Amino acid sequence: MKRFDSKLASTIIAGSFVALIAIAPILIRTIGWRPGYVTQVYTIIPIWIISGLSLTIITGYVGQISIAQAALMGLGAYGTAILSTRGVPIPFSVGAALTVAIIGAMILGLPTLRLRGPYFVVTSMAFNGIFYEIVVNWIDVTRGPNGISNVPSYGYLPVIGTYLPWGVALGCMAFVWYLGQTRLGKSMMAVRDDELAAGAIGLRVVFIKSIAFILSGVLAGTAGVLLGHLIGYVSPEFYNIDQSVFLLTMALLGGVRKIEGVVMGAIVMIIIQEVLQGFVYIQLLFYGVTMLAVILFVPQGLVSLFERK
Amino acid sequence: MTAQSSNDHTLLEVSSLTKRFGGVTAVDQMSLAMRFREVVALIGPNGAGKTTLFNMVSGISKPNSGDVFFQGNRVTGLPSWRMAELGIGRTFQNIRLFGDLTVLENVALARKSSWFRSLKLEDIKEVIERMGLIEFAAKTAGSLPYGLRRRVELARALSGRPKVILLDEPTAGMNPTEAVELVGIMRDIVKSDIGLLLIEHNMRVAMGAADRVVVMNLGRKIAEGSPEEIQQNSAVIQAYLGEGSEKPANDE
Repeated sequence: MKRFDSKLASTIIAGSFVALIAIAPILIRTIGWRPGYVTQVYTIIPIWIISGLSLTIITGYVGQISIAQAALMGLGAYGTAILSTRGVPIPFSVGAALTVAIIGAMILGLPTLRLRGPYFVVTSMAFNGIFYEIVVNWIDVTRGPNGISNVPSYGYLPVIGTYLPWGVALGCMAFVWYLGQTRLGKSMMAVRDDELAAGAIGLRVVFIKSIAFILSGVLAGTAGVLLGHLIGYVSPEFYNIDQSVFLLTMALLGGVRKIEGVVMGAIVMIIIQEVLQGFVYIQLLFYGVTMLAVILFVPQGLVSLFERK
Repeated sequence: MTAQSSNDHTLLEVSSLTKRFGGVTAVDQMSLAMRFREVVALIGPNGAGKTTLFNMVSGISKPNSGDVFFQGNRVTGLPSWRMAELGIGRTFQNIRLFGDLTVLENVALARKSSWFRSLKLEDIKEVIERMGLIEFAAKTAGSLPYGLRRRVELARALSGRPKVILLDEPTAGMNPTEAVELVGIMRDIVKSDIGLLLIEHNMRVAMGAADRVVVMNLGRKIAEGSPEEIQQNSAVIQAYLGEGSEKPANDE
């Protein structure tokens, strides 16, 4: 009976969440309170959620803390921006961009086959640093620090522009949740809890980690593609190490092991950003302090405070 | 080959296996063989190389030389997941469970099935019931007391349908009652055509459960025989009590 109740409760919460997403644009227009800014927030949250979900897989499920998710997003964003501004039809440029993001994620994942814990964190940061340097210096292709403008944008299309990121985000949320219920997802968690024991019961750790990194690349790449085509512009600053730190802080703050945690993290981060708007330079410091506080006091994220034991 | 005849064959054979760590030879030209349904106890003082031998047989580390044969096939140096797939299960000296997963998930993950199914109790119910874990199936493995965690680890090893299980000090930290109970469980396991190779410091358990005892010291095999033979063996007594020790008075 209790099980049924908690199932019913989650269904109601999930249902209201989807309904809120559906009616929010209408509300924004009706109320008319800073409509431009509020709409921007409304469309950026799902993109943050999708990149947060890419961390749910490799950090939450497989236990590898990565400071390279912005670079994976950047591979997606730059991939589709470079191709689509040269006349490649968008479906193909998106497909190619996601492929590039997957390859990038696999390269990022290679050292985890040997390195663990803090060693991988540093390697992932280096990965993001290398990505940034390439983007800034390979001017012929990436236009360097100026970024690429005039990327075809869906941002101004009334219905698609409003609902596309949320549609994709809900799909990604459903997928990551489903993965967490399957034997594959549980195997990832087994690798997280004890890699040696996972091997000893017949789980192919290398294979499982590779799948996790590929899926993480797909999700981060998708977030990048959506962001690039939303604002019609890609710039190296959107995909640097600071952004990766931001995404990790967001995911850890809400609770990186759970879909609800990532959603909560994205929403809380929007509020924090709003509060800190005038103090751009202390933002990184703030993220660092937040991350420490979370790890010390609520290691499973804010979402764990709402769980009934 | 019929099931009957396969039971008479060698299940696991270790031949001149050697492992060096830098200048230290942890396992030196070690050989042993065991059959189906046999319980072999591996004993020896600390640092004798028992766990290193287990690690090589279960694919966790690779030997410098020598071979491991499993059911007649050379399996030397295969990765651990492959060893497990072939039928070599194991437990660890310092219990290694998936702490944030449930007992059910821990046990069910060792059983092969499709990647996209969820882990179901039905699939592994007999193992969970046999190990008396049914009431703990939904509990997080990390939240269980020590004795139960040992049982979960054994259940997990069993659920992979192994042909041999390497038990690394299965009774460590157990009280005498629990240890006796475990000997009962081990005898029961062997009935289902599984061979057991166990590292054991508790002599009562080693002598009570094993058909044969292999004694290691400083990486080498120094004695092998029935529990009674080993109890009388002077090399074994020396390894445990030191050079020049008197043979202890027979307390029977």
